[in-house]
Amino acid sequence: MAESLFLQTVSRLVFPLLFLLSMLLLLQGYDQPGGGFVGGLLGSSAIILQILSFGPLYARRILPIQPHLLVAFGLLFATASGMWSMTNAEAFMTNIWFEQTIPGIKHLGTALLLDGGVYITVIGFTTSIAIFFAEEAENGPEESSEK
Amino acid sequence: MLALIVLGSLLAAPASFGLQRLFPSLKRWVLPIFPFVPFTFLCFKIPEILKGLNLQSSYPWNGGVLTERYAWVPALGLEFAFTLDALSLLFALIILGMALLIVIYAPSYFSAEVETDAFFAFLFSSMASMLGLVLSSNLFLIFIFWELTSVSSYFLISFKASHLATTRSNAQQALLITTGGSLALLLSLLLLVQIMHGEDLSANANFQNLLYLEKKDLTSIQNNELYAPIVLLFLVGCFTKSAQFPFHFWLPNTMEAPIPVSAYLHSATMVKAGIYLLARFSPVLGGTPLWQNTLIFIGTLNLVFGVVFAAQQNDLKGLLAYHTISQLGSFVILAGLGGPQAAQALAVGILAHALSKGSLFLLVGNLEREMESRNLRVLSGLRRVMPLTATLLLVAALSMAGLPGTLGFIAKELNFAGIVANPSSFLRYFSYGATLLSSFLGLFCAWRLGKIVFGRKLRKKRGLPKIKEVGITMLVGPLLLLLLSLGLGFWGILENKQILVPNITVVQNQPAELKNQPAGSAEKKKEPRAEKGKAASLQTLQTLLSANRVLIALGLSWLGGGILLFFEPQITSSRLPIPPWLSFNQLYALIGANIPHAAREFTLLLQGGKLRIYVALLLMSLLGLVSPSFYLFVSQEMRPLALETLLADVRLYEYGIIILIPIGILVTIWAKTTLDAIMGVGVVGALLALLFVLFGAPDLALTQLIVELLSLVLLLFIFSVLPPRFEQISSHRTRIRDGLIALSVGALITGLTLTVALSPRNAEVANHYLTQSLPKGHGANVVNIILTDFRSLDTLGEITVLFAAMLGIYGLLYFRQRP
Repeated sequence: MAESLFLQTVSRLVFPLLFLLSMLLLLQGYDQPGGGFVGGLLGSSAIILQILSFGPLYARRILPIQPHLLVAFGLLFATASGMWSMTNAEAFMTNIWFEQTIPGIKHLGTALLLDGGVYITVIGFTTSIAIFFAEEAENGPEESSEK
Repeated sequence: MLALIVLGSLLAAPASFGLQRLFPSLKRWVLPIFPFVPFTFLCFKIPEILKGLNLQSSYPWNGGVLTERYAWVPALGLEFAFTLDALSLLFALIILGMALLIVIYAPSYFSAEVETDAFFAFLFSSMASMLGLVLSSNLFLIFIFWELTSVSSYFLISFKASHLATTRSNAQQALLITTGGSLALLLSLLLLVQIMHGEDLSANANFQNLLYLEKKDLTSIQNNELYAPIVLLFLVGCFTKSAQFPFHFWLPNTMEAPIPVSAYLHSATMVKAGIYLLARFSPVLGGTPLWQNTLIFIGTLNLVFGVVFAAQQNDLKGLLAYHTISQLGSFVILAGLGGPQAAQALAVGILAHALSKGSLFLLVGNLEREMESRNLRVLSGLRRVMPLTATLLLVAALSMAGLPGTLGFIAKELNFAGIVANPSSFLRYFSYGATLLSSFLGLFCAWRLGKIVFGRKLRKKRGLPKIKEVGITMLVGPLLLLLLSLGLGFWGILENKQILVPNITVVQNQPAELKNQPAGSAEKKKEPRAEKGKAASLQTLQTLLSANRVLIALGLSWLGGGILLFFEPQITSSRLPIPPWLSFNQLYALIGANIPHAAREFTLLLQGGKLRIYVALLLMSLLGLVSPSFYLFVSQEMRPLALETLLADVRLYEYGIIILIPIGILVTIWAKTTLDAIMGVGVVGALLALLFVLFGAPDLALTQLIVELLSLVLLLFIFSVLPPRFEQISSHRTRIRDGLIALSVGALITGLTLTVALSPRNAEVANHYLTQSLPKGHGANVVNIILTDFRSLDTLGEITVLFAAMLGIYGLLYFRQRP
């Protein structure tokens, strides 16, 4: 992958913006277009932009956690959010709503946590696949058994 | 408390493992606690259970019943339901008692270098699963424990340091046969449940009540057309487990397993599981000609041939194993006959068999350890070198042959009594004759065992250690079992003050209303030993007619057996003329060798490793599964398609998109370079997003655009590795075939979509979501409210799919074989 100064500069600048936008999509998803899935996709595209411009090694280095672990973590998070209601002897995945409203998000509930789990899972999934493929591309064409 | 017992024994396996690691020196003292505690608890329950036992009733296990129920999945009829009645108590005491004795015995049996940690864990897991089986009363719980007995027995049988390959393949054989049978059992239980729902036996929605059904409910089950398949499948399950005729061969093959394993398998677990289930379900399923004839026919086959093979074995364990098959056959007959007498005979028979087989196997273990041989032709002169073992072996052989004074005698007597009490004369004489024949040969087998005791002293080769008597821990097990057998046997005779009269039996806690009956000499009496007083579920038999027949039968069996002894050399040296093709071991080997081969071929056919084959197969299955029902639906229910109404409100710019999408597809198909193909796909995706925008789905459009973008990037990564230009690697014909598949799938999906669009919609569902999302979900984005609130479990399922896909990709990329 050719290194392009232009691409690198832009992606540095755009990275926080894209990430903020993805968080916004996650948080407003309950009321307006968005949600954990789209947010996750957008967030991972921010990371994938880094992969494209700096290469997979750099992406792995800047990520605080291996992306494939993120998938497991997101799944765990979503499951745990559903278990909250079980402490009140209600069915698994029953939503719990909090009294206070937060400006911009309005109501806060465990559904947001579930959506957060989806967000994390999607980011982990897409990013790890992109990194796998980018590493393959970087290591050069291996003997392909597909013929 | 029952649940606690089962749970405790289930936990005993890992706990024993940990304890042995922590306190290796204490294991002799710590391990027996696990079976001992529940055993004593159940012993204290004996009076409560036996109170009110009416042995004349048609339902034989009618004494006190302890029941416990805990909810599990009520909607599916699953619950943790446990029941302790006379039958479960008998089995539970045998299971725990034998486990206790074997835990005491085994540390001395295994030489010091054998790692026994795993052995005890397997033993306890076997104990726990068998205990769960006999105590649970929910049909599905029964099935779960039934499977667990197979699995735990597999580990038990395969436990041995030497001969690993053969032991393991034999254990595998046992596992395959018994789990194959349990599939049949599962099917039968499911059908039974279906009948119960169909007949609307609403009281029996919890399956515990099945075992205590009312008479009219029973007949409604037995008259159902599904009754025959239920019985046959059920019997397949029981016969595989109890090593009955067509499936018998796995039991002798497990001989290589260590002695404590064999002793436990033969006396308490695994093979007894089938008998337990037969006895348990005979009040529900039994009593019909189908049930009686099948059970008696199969039981007789096993009874006779098992003992014939046993008489010819030279390996001590082989003799005992075939004799067990024969004994199990007699239990099957009794379960088939049904009725109170047969049930009593079954109960005493099972106890007697556990006592004699358990002690015999343990004693054979003593011989094997000291004399290093199990060959009946070699072993002799036991009384000179191992006097205690010799004495016990003699008593055990006598009990096996059923000599007066042992419980085996009473069992045999009740067995004949149960048979002659049957009203059907054909069944009576058939099983009568078979039982008579088997007792001839049983006596013969016992004679061969007894001969080890006498004869000249066996000499070992020089250099080997001298044969000496085994330690106390290896004798206490058989000793206790035989004392119990003798105690119950003598007590049964003394209780009736008459010797060799058929109403000899063990009676305990006789119900008060029966006490005044004229011929019944039974009195309320405390049991002789606290241990295993379960034989008390018996009742004196008072019909003189049957008494005479039983007397004659017993006399005949001694006489015939005695005569057979004169022909010992002829019997042991001759072989039954059995053609080799009838050898089930070979049949099993044949099937066993071909199934993996066939599976491999089939897998290669379906999973050739080429992506286009996978896709083609998936699409073709979709076509095959959906298109017939789609065609039927369209031809029968659909109004003729009114294209004009569909096309009426399509706007001009929408036509533009509709025309551009096929062009994008054609570009992709005909692209010469990979970059062109990616562009074509991208165009299609972007146009779809535009369609979503036009039809008011901004969420979908947003997602579609980002997905499109990301897949473009991923494709770029992939194609940067591949050559830039497509090569034509498939023939013209395959391309046409693939094109046809793709076109027909596309037509199918289009048709489905149009059908959905034209079908009258159920506005209720949509309205429900639309109206409820704001008050209940606190949000205006209905789609997302559905995703994260109303159907959040689906969302969880979807991200689980992502997780699984990620694992698959990870595995493919990181664990592939690099050239």
